[in-house]
Amino acid sequence: MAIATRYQAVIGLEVHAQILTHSKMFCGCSTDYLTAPPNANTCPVCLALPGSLPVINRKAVEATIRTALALNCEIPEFTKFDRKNYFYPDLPKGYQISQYDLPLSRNGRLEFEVNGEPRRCGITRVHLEEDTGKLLHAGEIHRAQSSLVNLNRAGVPLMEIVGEPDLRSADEAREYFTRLRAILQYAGINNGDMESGQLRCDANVSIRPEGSTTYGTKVEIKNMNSFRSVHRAIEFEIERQVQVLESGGALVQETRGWNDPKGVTVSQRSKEYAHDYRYFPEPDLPPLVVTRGWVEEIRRTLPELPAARRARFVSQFELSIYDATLLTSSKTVADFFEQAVRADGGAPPKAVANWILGDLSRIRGTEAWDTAGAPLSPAHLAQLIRLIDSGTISGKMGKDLLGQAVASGKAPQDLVAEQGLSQVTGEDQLGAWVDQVIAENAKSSQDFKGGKPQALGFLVGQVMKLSKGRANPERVNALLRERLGPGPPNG
Amino acid sequence: MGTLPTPDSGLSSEEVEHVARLARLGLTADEVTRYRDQLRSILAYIDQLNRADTSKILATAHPLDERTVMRDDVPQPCLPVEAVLRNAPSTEDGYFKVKAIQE
Repeated sequence: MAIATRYQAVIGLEVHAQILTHSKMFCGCSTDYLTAPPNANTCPVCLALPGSLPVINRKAVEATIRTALALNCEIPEFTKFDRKNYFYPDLPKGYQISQYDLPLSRNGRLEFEVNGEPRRCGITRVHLEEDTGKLLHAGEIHRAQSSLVNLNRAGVPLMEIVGEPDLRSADEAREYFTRLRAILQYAGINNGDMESGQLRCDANVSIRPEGSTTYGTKVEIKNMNSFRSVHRAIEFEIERQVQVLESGGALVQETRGWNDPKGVTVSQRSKEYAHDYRYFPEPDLPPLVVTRGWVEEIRRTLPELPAARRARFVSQFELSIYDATLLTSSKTVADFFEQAVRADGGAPPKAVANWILGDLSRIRGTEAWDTAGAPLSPAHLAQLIRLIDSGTISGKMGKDLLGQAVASGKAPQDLVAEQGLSQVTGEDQLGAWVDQVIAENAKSSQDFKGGKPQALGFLVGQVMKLSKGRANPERVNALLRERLGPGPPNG
Repeated sequence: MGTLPTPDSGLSSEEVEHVARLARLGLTADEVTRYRDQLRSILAYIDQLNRADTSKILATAHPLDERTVMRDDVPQPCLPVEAVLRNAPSTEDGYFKVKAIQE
């Protein structure tokens, strides 16, 4: 592909994250917009009734500052809100309260890795604004005669994180976004769920000839509703732009929507005056003075962030950097890991990591744990690992048992007791099985004695079958050798 | 407001129409002329203010001295949905109903 040598992609992400407060940004209405009946969570402020006045939610401001600190931003002492004018029924005021020239924070950075290589992306600013209501279009959007407006989401606190155009590939964009999402989770902003719209991402993409220092024509991509679609949309858009230029065409600055089923970006008819927002200071809100004492107070509420936690997982639990990175990119998964390791009785960290990233993530992909939860409790996983380590059940039975524990919610120990699955290690019972198998498989027994080591594996398998998987294979192996003689050397 | 011309150059009727469209105002030709002349005189006054030396004065973010007014994150009762929708010209199933808007 030409791009590797001739063009360089320049990508910047704009990420919106809802802040999980109890009440809205500027009024006391509940933020529970997903389950409430239409327009049940509205009041004169978020309905924009005349005479109503907004009041700033302190928790939303603190959440924004906390995120900004996690992203190494400067927090100016003076900040204010502005009106961004636009007419659309999803915000009845005719403007959105946002921040223009004096945002809560600016000049941060986020460090991450791509294929083990360190990368850094500048953070232009993190500011605070309000979410819009939701429009429901009856039938297909282009044919609908009317739209239905639900203002329950209007006024929910929304944080915007504007990244510098420092990203150079779809892979870098995905890694940056993954790390940013983890930080938002760790800082307690939200669960990072893109499907429900808690977390949204727009991308500015342009290309330029390799070696050039000026920017090409920028295209904004919207409507990417998953991490996968962010990656796919950017890859598609870079390739599309290369092809336009290669075929002698010119790029236009425009907004394009990602069409996920078709895997393409599509030009969206630009609203004629869409970008003439005419910001001006919000007269209904006095400015904020962010004292240094307040900033330090908020800094103390910052939890251990993903990068620090990963480093600790490597040093404290002797995990590989690879495993530690996977485990800490979701707070839910990292918490699960530590809870399992520290559960009553505990479990070896390496085994816990292997189960989470192996069998457990096959049952439910770890990215779904944030919303759907882990498939079983950390204590039950620890118990399962101990049952295997103590030889009570075999590793293979452990895998079967995991499925049962997930399906039934029962403790692995109880399942073993209920089904009489305990591994048999008693010499009498094992000896009887071994003798029976030797008697019934005279040919294989002779083969082994006669110098065919592979015959032993067959015989062990027969004993395991006879015992319904409950025999300890190592003991069976030893007993067979006792009965048949040492046989040929293993090979 | 950087896109607006200085009074010297004179505010054009097209610019008045542009601003009117942004504010979703339908103006008659007479109104465009009337508002253009009124706005010209307002802009001339602004221009006079612009000549004052404000290099040592911070931009005013708010006319009052009040600062840092915030509330605790505690939900309060909302309006009953009947009251919310009472003045709406059109509703359906608890929603406001508006003419379809296509982006």
